[in-house]
Amino acid sequence: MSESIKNEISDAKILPFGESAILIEFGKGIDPEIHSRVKVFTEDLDLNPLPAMIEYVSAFSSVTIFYNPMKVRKMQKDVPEEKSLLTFEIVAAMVREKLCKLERGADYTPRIVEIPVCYGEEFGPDLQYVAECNKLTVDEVIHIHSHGEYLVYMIGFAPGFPYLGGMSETIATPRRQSPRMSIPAGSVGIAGMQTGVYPIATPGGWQLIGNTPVELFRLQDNPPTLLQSGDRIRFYPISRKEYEEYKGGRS
Amino acid sequence: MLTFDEIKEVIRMVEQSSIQHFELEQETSKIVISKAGVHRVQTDSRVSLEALQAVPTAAKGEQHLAEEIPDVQAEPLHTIVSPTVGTFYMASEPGADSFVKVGEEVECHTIVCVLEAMKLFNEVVAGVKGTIVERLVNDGDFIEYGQPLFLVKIES
Amino acid sequence: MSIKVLSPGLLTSIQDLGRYGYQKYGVIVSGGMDTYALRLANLLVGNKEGEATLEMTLMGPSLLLEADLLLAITGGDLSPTINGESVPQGRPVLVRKGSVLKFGALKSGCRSYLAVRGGYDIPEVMGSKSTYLRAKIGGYQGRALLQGDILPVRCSSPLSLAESLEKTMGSRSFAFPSWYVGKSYVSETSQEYKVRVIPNSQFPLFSPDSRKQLFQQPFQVTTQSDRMGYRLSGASLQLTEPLEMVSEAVALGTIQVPPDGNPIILLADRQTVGGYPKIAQVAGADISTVAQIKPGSRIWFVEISLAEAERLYAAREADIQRITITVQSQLAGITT
Repeated sequence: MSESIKNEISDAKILPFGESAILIEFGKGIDPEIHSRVKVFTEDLDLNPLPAMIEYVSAFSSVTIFYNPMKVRKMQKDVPEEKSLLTFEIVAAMVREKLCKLERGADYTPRIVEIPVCYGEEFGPDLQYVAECNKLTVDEVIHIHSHGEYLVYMIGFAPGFPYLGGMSETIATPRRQSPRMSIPAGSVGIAGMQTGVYPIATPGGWQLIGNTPVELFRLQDNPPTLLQSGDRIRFYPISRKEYEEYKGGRS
Repeated sequence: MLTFDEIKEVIRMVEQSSIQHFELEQETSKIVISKAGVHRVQTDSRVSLEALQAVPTAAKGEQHLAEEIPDVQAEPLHTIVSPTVGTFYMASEPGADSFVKVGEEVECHTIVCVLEAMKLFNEVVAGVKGTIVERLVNDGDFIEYGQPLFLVKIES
Repeated sequence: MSIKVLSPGLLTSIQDLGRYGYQKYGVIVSGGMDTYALRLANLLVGNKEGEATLEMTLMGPSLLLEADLLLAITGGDLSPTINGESVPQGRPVLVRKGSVLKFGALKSGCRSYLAVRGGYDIPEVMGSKSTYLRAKIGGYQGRALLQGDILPVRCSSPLSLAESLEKTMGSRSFAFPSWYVGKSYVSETSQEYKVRVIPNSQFPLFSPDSRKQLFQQPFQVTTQSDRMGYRLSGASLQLTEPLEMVSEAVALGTIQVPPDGNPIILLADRQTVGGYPKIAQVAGADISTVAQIKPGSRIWFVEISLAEAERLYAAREADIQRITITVQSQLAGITT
């Protein structure tokens, strides 16, 4: 059963992924158009979850649904053993049905999230390096970084960590040769063509240009993250004083 | 879903307990065992259970019982009988040493074998002090309640 | 009621069946590595099967039981003793207050589970008590246990079995019934294990030689293996041609292959997404076996169909259901 099932309407590929998950591919590569289909599908899943679904994970161009195979089995309890379908086939049929109901070219309304960043200082030890690499001044780097609009393609790697698309090539910088053992929470960095924000302290090789006082991972909230797949975000520069006030006001 | 053998085991467990009413509901099936009118039903259920029993092992067990009687009269032999139904295992897991061997001495609390029923392993102890003379069943055999397992020569 | 940690062991953490529903926010599932053993441990003390347990790895802790407790140990054999006397696994054990439960040398397996009647009284975070070590959330203060930690235990109604054990106990420090449940894994003396896998949809992208190698020779579990995943060494697995791949979700048991060609089996603490090609998927029914394989042992992968994996999964669940029924009747004092 490794053969994919083509969907006439959305052309999404439905593939088995072990006995407890199913993969739905909406295309290949990093593309806002493909991602919008991912988002439209997951918004529908939020409203009308599949029976037996445990959860889903959305990525750049695909959605993976994790399900309880025993619950799926129960759904066909009146079917004689020899006629029973694979649980995968039952789930695939439900996914296909859902995809067929989705409108062609349907879109979603993205949330816009603004994130304050204190660029440079001890927060951005690599800001100077990023400027030098791209033959720009530090102010130019800040201007370019804070004037882009970024799409949250997915959350992963760490709780609340956004994979962002849309950074200007003019500030692209390779990763550090040797990763830092610990990068503080809130760090804003650049790695190659990507920019991102670290929600929790972790080791990492990104070029750090600043820090946000905003918490991206909030244990006590539901959802527990500031950002979600499909959000559009903007960074805006704040002063050291504003940064301290923000931090102070929160505690 | 429970297999036929497992349903037999459930019936037996309930039958031998003090439970009067037992209900078990699983995803696709429901079993209700009720012992209303205890005396009459008990007799009846025993009859039906015997009819259900796996004939070869039961017959084998009875043979041993029959053989054992003259033995007991000749010398002081004790028969270790099965306290439950289940599959007979000589060792705690495949490849491990068996609990006891013929010729070995046992104490009252020496474990002589385990019986597996519905994924649960029940230890069987010798119950007497003596020497194992004979093993009456084989590894992996399905054992009935009361079936003789070992003959033990009691220490005088 | 509580348990005091006298020495913590190598990696002892609170784990339940995992934190579900938050992977889309980048929060990993965590949970017990050998969930079969974890469920059994809970069933044996009359808990819900998904209650939190202590997961102990390779070298276990020493614990002071500060109350009379009914407990059960399952999974790998870490030679547990109570006040120096060997204590059996796979069954409920009633232990007197003041006893020391000590885990010693690893005899078989890799991880052991300790469940206590009532469960450990610690708060749930996002619906689970599992410890998410890297993010420092859940479990006992978000970390592995340390010396001096005090684990509170929730009070629970006494079981009929515990009452009858109490009567037979006398002056001994622990007592247990004459029945037990079998091990969650097959202990192999040869240090080689069979693990059944389903080829992933990206399997055909690997070179014909690599596809053969996956099943024709064993892979060794390296010492760089942990709760996140097992790094294996053996044949170097390669794609037919380089693949432009963007990150997508990974699952429990996904076997991914980084560019160095050494496969990694993703386990309980796996990240939510991954960007490496996936060659195969370990059958759900064999995850608990993998969790009990210690570094240095070797794995032979055996190819099975998706239909077979589904059948094995259902058979495993049916086994657990049977165990639940028999154990519950034993705990309630219904003896055969």
